[in-house]
Amino acid sequence: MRCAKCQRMYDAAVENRLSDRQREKIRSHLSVCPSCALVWQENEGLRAVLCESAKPEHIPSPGYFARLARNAIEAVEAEKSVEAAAPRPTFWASLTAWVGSVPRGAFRLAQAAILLAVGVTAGYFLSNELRGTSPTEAFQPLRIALSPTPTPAGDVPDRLQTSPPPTAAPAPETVIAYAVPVPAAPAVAAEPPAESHPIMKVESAPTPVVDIAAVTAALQKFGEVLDKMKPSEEVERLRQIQRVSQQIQASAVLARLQDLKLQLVRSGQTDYIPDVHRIEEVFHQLASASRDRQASEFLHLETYQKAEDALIKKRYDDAMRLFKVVIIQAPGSYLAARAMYQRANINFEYYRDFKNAIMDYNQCLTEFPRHFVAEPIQKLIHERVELIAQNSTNDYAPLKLYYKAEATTRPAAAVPLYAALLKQYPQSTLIKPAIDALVRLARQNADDSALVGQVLDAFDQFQDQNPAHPAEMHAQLAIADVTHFCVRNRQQAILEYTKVLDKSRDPELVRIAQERLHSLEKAP
Amino acid sequence: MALSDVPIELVTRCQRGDQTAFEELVARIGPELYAMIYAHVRDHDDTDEILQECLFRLYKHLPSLRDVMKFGSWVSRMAVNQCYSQRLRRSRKAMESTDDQIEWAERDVMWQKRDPDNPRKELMRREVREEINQAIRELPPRQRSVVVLFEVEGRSIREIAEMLNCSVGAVKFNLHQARKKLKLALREYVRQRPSERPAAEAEAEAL
Repeated sequence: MRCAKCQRMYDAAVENRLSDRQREKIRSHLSVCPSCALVWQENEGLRAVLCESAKPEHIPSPGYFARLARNAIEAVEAEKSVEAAAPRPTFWASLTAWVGSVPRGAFRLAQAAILLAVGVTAGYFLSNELRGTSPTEAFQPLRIALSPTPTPAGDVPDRLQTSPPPTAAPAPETVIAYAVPVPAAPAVAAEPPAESHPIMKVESAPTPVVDIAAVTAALQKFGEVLDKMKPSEEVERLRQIQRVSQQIQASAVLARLQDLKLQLVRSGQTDYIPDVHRIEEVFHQLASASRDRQASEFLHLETYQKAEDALIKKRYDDAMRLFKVVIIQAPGSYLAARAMYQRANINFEYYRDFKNAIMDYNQCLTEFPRHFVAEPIQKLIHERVELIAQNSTNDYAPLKLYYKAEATTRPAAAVPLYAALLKQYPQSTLIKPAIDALVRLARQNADDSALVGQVLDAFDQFQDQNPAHPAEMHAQLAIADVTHFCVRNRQQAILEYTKVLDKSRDPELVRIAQERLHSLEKAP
Repeated sequence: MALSDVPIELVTRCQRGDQTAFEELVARIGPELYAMIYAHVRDHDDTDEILQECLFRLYKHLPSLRDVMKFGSWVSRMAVNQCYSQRLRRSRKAMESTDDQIEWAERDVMWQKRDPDNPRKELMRREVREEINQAIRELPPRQRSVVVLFEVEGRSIREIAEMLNCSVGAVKFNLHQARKKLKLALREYVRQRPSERPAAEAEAEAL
């Protein structure tokens, strides 16, 4: 038997698939060939090592599994209950409730988009009143069509979010006044909010599901209206709408029309696509006339939200990809700024890719300063930029070390990492947090003498190697604390605290040392 | 309780949406599932995350399982695939750029503490264990899945190919690569002749 064949046979041997003859051959080969024998022996050793280390050190308690089971049941049931038909509040009630439920900024814009779509269409049709088209007749189907309705059976969106049905229906006038410019308001307000209206479903996505039948009927109607117009009249209408459009955003309507188109394509009712295109064209002209800068944003809102969804579900790679799409396709927009910020966060918090994180954060600050006026976000960005910049030594190794240690759940593995940080990167701004973390770990595991010893060694070494380091007294206080709380050596602890009192100029450290000394002296 | 020993009656009750039955099912198979996932990912946090996802899927998709007899293999297949895809998601980027220095800093401490006379005895010491786990975690996802399924779970190559939806040749290749890397990373322990072994290994050695 040749060596190559003998080594190949190992897997078959483990699976017990060898004939007696083959076994005999292998045995005789192994007895004369030391290199094959070594390979087999190593395979065996590896197998043993893998098997022995495969068992977890501890299996969680039954309570843990019971909790996980409940979580799974609740999550699935919640999903089911959302998918099932939601309670149907009245149209205006749910509309106002929906407007009232204020999620993040971008989604607020999406809400406005739909409101405006209703408003603009109303305005458009009502303006036809001048030439004898009945406004309510033309408006009614489109209003229904453009207001999102409960999901048709078999077309269930992925993620919906329920909201409690509003208790009382607020006055419809307020909504209309907000959505539709003045000329349209009285006519619509005169129409009572009918209880039996098709109802929108409250949801988080900016692309509510629309009743296809109503949309198609309404579009047909809309198309007929457009057909009746003469080109000159159409221009006149456009001008009218343009005046109105100073208060509205045509892009919002465009985004809404995109959704409609998508729905039509999905349901196979492509006959109506040309109609939608005509309407779209009208609003495109409007958008370009009013130089609607946010037009691009609305087209990418969906992508952005998908990215946020992916982020929430911890699908970081997907989120990164989608954020990138937004950044590339909607440059300079609010969404791009948010996307860049989120991308930096993912790089910082999850991938620990500090190089790219600092690039994105910096770009956020320089290119989009007005998008990040919110104090906490500004502060966070500045803090992180500073942190990364100050710890960029050796390919951001101090940062990586620190966060790796922080992510480690087992103290025995975390301590060496913090110790390595102290030893190798004394100039890092993370020294103080690392010292604090070590003290915390030591205090939490005061019974583990080996661990406490390691912590003390790390502090001693740090002090020896870095005389007159800014954090020297911080380390000294840490030594004193560990001696006091973990080693419980009273004499030694008093000695260490006294050193802090003698040498430190930081009033905070002195105060702590004094307090501890005081309590030590009081104790028996 | 092995996955394949779950009473059929319990599974069918779960399929009908009986929540107490599901809780009972999880109480029975949970620990084994936990150990199984841990063998793959070698990290308690990740195990927790994957187990949650698995149970979610289990409860959601159990009603659509047609052949109840295959419950055991269905669940283990799902768990393995979850481990595989979780690792796949992470391995693309996460921590892989962590520079060697960190690894070495970590390892230095471990080596210092080792007793060169009797490495076998302290195999299960925390640090060494962590080193083994680290080596396994560093394998590419498919290699890791294959080596754990073959060496630890004792599945046949054909079975693994079916589970991971790839060819027998691919499994063999990945197994070979994984062994090569692990032998290199863990040479100190691999070379040591194990004093005592589970029956499966003893059998192979008895050749």
